Amino acid sequence: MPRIDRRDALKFALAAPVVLAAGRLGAQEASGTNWPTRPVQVITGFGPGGGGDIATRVTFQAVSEILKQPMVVENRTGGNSLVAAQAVLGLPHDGYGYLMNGLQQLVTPLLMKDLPINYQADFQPVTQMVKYPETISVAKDSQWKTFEELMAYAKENPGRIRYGTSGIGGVPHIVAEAIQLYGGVKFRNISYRVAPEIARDVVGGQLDLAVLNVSTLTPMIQADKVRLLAVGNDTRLQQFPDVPTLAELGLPKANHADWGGIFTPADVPADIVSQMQAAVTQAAKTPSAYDKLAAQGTLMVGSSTADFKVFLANWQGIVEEVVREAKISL
Amino acid sequence: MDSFVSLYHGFTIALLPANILYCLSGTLVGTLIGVLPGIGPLSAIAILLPITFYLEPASALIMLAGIYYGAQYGGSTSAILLNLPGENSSVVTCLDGHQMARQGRAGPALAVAALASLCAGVVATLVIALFAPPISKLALMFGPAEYFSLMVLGLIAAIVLAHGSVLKALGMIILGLLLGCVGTDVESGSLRMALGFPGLFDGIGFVPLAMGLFGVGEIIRNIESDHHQTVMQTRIRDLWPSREDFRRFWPAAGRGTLVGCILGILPGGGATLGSFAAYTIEKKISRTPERFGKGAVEGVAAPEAANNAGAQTSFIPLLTLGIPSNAMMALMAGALLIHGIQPGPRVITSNPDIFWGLIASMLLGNALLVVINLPLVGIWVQLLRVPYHLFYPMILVFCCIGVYTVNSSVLDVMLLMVFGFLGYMLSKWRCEPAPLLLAFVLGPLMEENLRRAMQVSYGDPAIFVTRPISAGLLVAALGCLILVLLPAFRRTREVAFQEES
Repeated sequence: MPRIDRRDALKFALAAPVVLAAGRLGAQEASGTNWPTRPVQVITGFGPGGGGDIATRVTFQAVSEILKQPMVVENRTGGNSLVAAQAVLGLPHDGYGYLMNGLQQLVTPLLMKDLPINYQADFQPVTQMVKYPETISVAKDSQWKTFEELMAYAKENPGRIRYGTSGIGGVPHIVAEAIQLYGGVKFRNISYRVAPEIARDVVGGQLDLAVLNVSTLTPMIQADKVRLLAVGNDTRLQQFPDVPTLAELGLPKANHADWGGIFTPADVPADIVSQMQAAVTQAAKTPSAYDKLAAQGTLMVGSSTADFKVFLANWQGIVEEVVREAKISL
Repeated sequence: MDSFVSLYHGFTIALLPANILYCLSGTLVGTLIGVLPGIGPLSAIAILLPITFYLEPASALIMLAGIYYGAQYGGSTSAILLNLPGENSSVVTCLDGHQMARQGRAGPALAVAALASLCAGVVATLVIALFAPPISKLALMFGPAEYFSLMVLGLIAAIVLAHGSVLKALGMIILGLLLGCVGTDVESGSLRMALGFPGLFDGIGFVPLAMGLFGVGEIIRNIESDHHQTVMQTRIRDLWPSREDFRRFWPAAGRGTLVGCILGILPGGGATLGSFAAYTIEKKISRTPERFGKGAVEGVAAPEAANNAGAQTSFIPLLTLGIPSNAMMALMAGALLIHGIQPGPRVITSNPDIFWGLIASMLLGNALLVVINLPLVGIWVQLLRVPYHLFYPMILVFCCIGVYTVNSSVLDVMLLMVFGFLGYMLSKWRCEPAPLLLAFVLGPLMEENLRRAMQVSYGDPAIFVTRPISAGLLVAALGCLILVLLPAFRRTREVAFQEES
C-alpha cells in the first residue's frame, strides 16, 4: 500500500504553511483557493484511442467544464506507464500535473528492479476514476457452455486451454492467474501486444478462452460471436444479467474488475488534491459523460481519496499474493 | 443493389455543406502534415481528437479519415522531393520517386503519385461499399500461423527489393531484425537491449529510424559532395507525365490497388506490407527490372496505389469486427467511442449515417485531394530551386520537430541523429536501407506470431503447413527464394549491380 499514513499527513500539514510562508510565487499560486488558474495537464501511459485513453478524455472533458479550465490529456506511452509517470514527476509539483494509471502503478515495482522512480513515495492517490468489469468468454461454437464445464475440462487437461492476455501484470492477467491459482487449474498463457487481437483469435478459433475488459469484447458480443461464461465485478452486469460473477462461481479471490485512477506528485498540497478529487467525483455524476462510457462498458467511479487509498491497499495485497504464488516474474 | 442505395444515402450525408467543409479541411490538413517530415497523421489526429467532441460523429469521422488518407498522400511528396519517408508506407516511394526527382522529373513523379492514389482510393471505396461484410471474414481466417507465413514471404521479398548485392541485402535484413528486437519481449516481459532507457522499453521508433536512414543520411551525403549546390537544382524538365509514363502507369497502379486492398484488410501488420509487396511484384514482373531504383514510374505508381488502397480498406476490420488494424485505426475507434458509438458489426445497421457517410466522403475526399494537389505540384517543385545550403537546415529542423512530436521524446531526436549518421555510412558502403526497414517492421511481428502459433499448436510446428492459407504463403515464399537463388536470375542481378557502379 502507498505508505502515506497519518504521520506523513501530519508532516505534510506542518510543512505546508512553512512552504507558503516562504512566499515563493509558485507556492502561492499553488495554494488551493484560486486553483486552477491555467490549463491542467493529465498524462497517461495508455495509447491514444484505447479504453484507458478514452475514459481519461471523456472524464476530463467533464472536469474541465466543472473547473472552468482546459484539461489537456497527453499520451506518453512506453515502459508500462513508466514514461508517463516520469513525465508527471518532471512537471512542477504545483497541482497542474496528474497521472492517469492502472494496476501498473502497483505491479511494476514488484516486477521490475532498479526503477528510476518510486511510485509509492513519489505519488499520492487522488481518486479512482473508472472501473472496467472483466469478462471470461469463449467462442460461440465452443464446447464449453458454462464456466464449470470449462474448469472441469481444465482440471483433467492441464495446460490444454489456451488463453490470450495482453500486458503482464495487468488486471486481466492477474484475474487469469488467480483463476488458475485458486481454481486449481493450469492454462496455457499466450501473450499479445494489444487486446483486440485476442478477441479476434478467440472468435477465429486460435484461442480457447479470453479474459478481457468488457469494452474490448463488446463488438464480439454484439456480433454474437462469443459466449460469456463469467464476469469479474462485485455485482452481475446490468447488460448481462444471466452471467454469474467469479465470486458466485466460488472464486472470490479472482473476482476483480480492472480500474484506472488519478495520481499526482506526493508533495502537491492537500487542498488542491481534494478539489481535483471533488471535480472528478462530480464528473462521474454527469449523465452525458457517464452514459458515453457506460455504452462501452466502462463505469465512472470518482471515489473519495480515502476510499481510493483503501482500494489500493487491498489491491497491493492481491497482487503481492498472486505474483508470489503464481511465480510471475520478468 | 442495396449497397448502391446505401451509398446514395451516404452521399446525401457527405455532400451536406458542413461535411464537405470538414472533408476539405481534413484532406488539406492531412496533406500539410503529410508533407511536413515526421509529423504523421497519428500525432495530428491524437492532437485533434478532443476537437471532435464538439462535432457530429459523422462529421468528426469524415474529417479524421480525410486527415488520414490526405497524409498518406502528402507523405509521398516529402518522400519524392526530399527522400524523407515519414511513415512506413512512403519508404518504398522514396526508392524510385526520389530518383525521378533527382533526374529533374519531380513533377511527373508527384503527378503519378496523385493519380495512383486517386485510382486506388476510388477502387478501394467501392470495395468497402460492396464487399465489407463478406471480406471481413478474411481477417478472422488469419491466425498467428498465417501471419507468420505472411511475414516470411515479406522478408524473402525484401531481398528482391534491393538492387545491389544479395549478401549486403541479407546483412541489412539481419541488422533490421536486430534493431527490431530492442524493447520489451511480449511473451516474458523482459527487456532486450534497452540500455536502461525507459524510452526504449517499447522499442526503437519507426519514424526516427526511417527518417534518419533515408532523409538525414541523404542530407549528409549531399553536403559532402562538391556539387551539392546543384544537386537539387537539376533542370526541371516537365511537370506532367509523358505518354510513355502513362502507358507504364495504369497497369502498375491497378496491381498496386489490388495488393493494397487485400493486405489492408488484415489487421495487425498486414497493411504495412502493402506498398512493399506492390513494389516487389512490379519489379518481379517487369521486363526491365534494372530500371527500378533508378526512377521507374511503376516503382512510384504501384506502392502509392497500394498504400492508399490499404489505408482505406483498413477501415473494414474496424467497422465490421471492431478490430483496429493499426494504431491509426485504434484512434478512429477512439473517435467513435468518444461519441458513445461502439465500433463493430452494429455500426452498419445502427449507425448507417456514419458508415455510409464515411464511405461516400472517401470518394469525395480522394477527388478533392487531386484537385488540391495537382496545382500544388508546380509549387512543390519550385521548392527544389531553393539553394541547398538554405534548404537543408530547414529540412533538419522540421525532421527534429516531427520526430519529437511523435512521442514528445528527446531520445527519439537523438536516435534520429544516430541513424542519420548510420544512413550516411550505409550509403558509403553501398548498402540499401529499404530491406533493413522492412525487416525492422516485420521482424517483431514475425517473432510474436511464430511463438504464438507454436503455443496455439501446443508446440507442434506442423501448424504452419497444415493450415491451408499458411501453407500457400510458405510455398510462395519458397518460390521467391528459388528465384533469388537461381543462377540465371542472380546473373541479371549482378549485371544490374555493375551497371550501377
